[in-house]
Amino acid sequence: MRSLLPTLRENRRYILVKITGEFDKMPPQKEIYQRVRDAAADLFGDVGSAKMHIAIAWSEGEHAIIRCSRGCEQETIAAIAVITKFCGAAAVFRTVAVSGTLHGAKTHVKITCWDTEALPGYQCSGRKVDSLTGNNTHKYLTRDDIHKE
Amino acid sequence: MITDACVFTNQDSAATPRRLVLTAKSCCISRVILCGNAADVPASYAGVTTLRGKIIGKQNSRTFPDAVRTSPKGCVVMVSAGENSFNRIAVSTKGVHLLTNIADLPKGGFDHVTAKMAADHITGVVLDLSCIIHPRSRRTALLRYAEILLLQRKYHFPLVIASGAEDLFGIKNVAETIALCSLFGMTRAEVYAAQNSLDAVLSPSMPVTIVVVEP
Repeated sequence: MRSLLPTLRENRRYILVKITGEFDKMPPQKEIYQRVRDAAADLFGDVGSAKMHIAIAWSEGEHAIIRCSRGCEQETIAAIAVITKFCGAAAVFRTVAVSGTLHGAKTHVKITCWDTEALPGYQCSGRKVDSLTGNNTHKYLTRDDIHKE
Repeated sequence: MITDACVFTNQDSAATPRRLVLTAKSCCISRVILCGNAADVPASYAGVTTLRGKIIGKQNSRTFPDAVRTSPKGCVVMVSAGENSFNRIAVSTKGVHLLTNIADLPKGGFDHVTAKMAADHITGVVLDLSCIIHPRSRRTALLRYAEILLLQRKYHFPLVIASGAEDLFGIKNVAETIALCSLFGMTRAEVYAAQNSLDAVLSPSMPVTIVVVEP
């Protein structure tokens, strides 16, 4: 079967998301797809989610690019925004950028720099911090909070 | 100034209030109202202005004015919505800035008379996005917010958008807010107006007074 002419093909949009969660290792791309698909089906039903043509175009580290039909960007972003759990842990899929090409979406990828002076909150990552609160769970701090404790 | 109208802080939660403010900054939010225990957070942290918020729960008409009067000076007073008669008193009371918990309203709890009174007294109505995110309250919240939006388009009372976040993952950026608000028919321009409408609530425009300076 011949492939469709470029003018007859469906136009798509590529949404770059940053996945942040309380899991130790980033889950595989298949898990990301299933979670996004389930969230879209919860919010818009099977018919609405089928129209979006959701797929994961690319994923690396904490970033992923979600492909959808053109005109369904808002619905897809809304479906992504209602995700609160991923692989049993609290998580958030934060929309970074929307682009018409995969390459354009990739240009917005910024690897988080953990040791910058601009965002002191990130400087705690990767270091052991003694907490006096007692509960042995995740604790999100800033440098000011460490000094205070 | 893009404002998140309600972020709940708790000392026992995983994220400290400062960290919540930093996350708000990364989501391009420039002002946050912190409700709860956040006494040690400065008025401006990492470029984000922080305001204190006090939520007054459902009370009877006798104790309600005292609760408003005793609220700390300089904090944003939010009143949890209840029956229609209570809401009318709440929006017309001096010192009340915002009416919140709209998603829990009974049917007819916020009618056109309340909307007109809110517009006259410049009392904002909070649209809490966490009610849309949680599946249990989603349907009711979308229904109520659509009703509120219809009234807002007619009477032009201020709408304020809040994430209602209790942890880092609950804070939403502008793109997500626009997408979530589009679920109940809010346009992009209306979302931008709602995110910047807190100034009109906190310092409403007053009639011009001419001050004559004696020579």
